This record gives sequence, C-alpha cells and structure tokens, in this order.
Amino acid sequence: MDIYLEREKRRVMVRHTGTGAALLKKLCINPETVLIIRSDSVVPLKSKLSDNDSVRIIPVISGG
Amino acid sequence: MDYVEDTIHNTIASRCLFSRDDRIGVGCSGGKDSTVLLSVLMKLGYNVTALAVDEGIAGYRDASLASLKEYCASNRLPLKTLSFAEVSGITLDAHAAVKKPACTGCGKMRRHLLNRLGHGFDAVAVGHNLDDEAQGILMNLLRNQIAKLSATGPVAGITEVAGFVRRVKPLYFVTEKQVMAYAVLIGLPVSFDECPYARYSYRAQVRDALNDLEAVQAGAKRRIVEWFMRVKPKLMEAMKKEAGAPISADQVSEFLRASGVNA
Repeated sequence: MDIYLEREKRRVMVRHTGTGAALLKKLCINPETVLIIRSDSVVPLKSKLSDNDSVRIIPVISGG
Repeated sequence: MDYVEDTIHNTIASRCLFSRDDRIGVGCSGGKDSTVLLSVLMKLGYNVTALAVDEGIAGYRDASLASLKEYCASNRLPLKTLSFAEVSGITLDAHAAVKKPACTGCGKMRRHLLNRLGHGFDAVAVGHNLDDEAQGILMNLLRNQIAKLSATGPVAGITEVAGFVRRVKPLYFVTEKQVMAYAVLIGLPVSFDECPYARYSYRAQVRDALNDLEAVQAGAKRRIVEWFMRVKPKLMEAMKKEAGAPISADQVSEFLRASGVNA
C-alpha cells in the first residue's frame, strides 16, 4: 500500500490488507490524531483497505 | 457533513449564541477550525466578517493568513486584521525569544486584539472545538483554576462587561476530527501546520494525554465537556464574586514586560 504521511511529508510502502484502524496500529499512530484519506474521501476506521490502495494520512491537530 | 452543520446550528440556537439579525465577527487564523466555522456560518446565512490577528510568527502565520485572505476574497467576505506589532511594537517571535513558553502571553494578546477587532459586532465567534474545550477544562482542573474554569463554555465569561464583545463558540460540540473531516470533504484550503510554539505548551501535553486516553476510552473528551456543562451553572454562581478582571488593555503592557521591554 502506498501511504503519504502529510505531517512528515514523506511516502512509505506498507503491505496491508485490513481495516484503517489496523493500518494505523501497524504504523503506531493514534487514530485520534489523524484521518485516512483515499481519493479525497475520509476512510472510516472500520472500513477495509486493500494492498493496492493509495492513501494519505493527514494530521487532525493543526493550528494552535 | 450534515452532522457538523446541524451540530453548529443546534449549538447556536440552543445556547442563544446569536441570531441572523446580528453582525458576527469570526476570529480567523486560516486554520481548519476557523475556516470551517466561517464557511458553515456563511452557508447558514449569517452576516459574518472575518477578523484576523497576526501574531508575527514567521513562516507560519504569514502563510495561513495568506490562505485566509485568498478564501475571503474568493467568497467576497470582509476581512479585518490587527497585528501584535501594530499594537505593542513587537512580534510574537520577538516575545518568544525572551519568554518561553510563549503561549500564555500570546493567548491573552490574541483575545485582547480580537476583542478590539470585534468592537461594533454583536458577537465574536471563535473556532474552539470540543477537543480544545476538553483540554481547557482539564488544564484548569489540574491547576485548580476554578474561576477560570467556570468562565469557559459556549459563551465565554461569567458576566457581561462594558467594552467586551460577547465571545461565543459554535464548534463547542464538534470534535477536532469532525472539523478536519468536514474541511476535507468540502475541499477547504486548510493548512496542516502546527504553530511552532504550541508543541512546547502545557496545552499540548494535556492534548496528547487526552488523545491517548480517548484511544482506550472512546468518548472520554465528550464526557469531560458534558460533565462540565452539567456543573457549570453551579460553578458560575459560586465564582461570580471571585472572578478576576477580564482581558483588558493592560494585556499589552504585560506582554511587553514579559518580552523584556519597558512598557
């Protein structure tokens, strides 16, 4: 799976077929702090992702 | 999308924040919360003007304010701005070089300048979301600042004071995550950047702790806010006599003193 991490501004490739929540767990990211975006839509944590997907992980925390 | 808009609409109506006849100044930074607030209030038919405070944070605020100016221009929205430098002669960057963490002084100055910008408006709406409020409640509890705690809520302050514009929070029951999801769904031009000074703040520590807690106790933040809303009337009553003075012109002198400038 092609993953772009918006805060770090870097791309990583991870083998993953499963839910969005499982992906974030694999990446050690607190699901409270990010959204998973696929084709400009928000992916619910319980939705399934496939290895062919390309997603962006964007930080929820911004500003301040 | 409907959930966010309905929640904002219900908060405005049920808490009597303002009406469609009112002139509303919206405290804007170009970040997601205030831009979503501005966008929804426009959509709901309110008479809004964007109000922006430029703290003077190189490489951060200049970029978000440029984005805000573009948004306002493309939506034909009036925008009023005021900077720390205009009012005090120094930027937050200069202040932070002397005083760290800079967030306390910055927050007071921002509220002070926003209040100045808000003169002539019936209310100033700010983009504080449910996460911000849960953090604020916990921060005040942990520091035993009960008077400050009682002054927070969808309508800030305990009593109405002449010269101070009502400050209201229509996003009070919308989570930070819902705000960001809404921004993405309607394609708002939102910066993902975080204030370079915020990461060192007490608020950031509480925010991270609450996010860790939320990950294992879903709904924890909402329950903190709901608990507070239940006890707030009693707290307000108890604290009315003890509440300190609201943010005043003295904030500029205080900011300058903390920056090492003789005011």
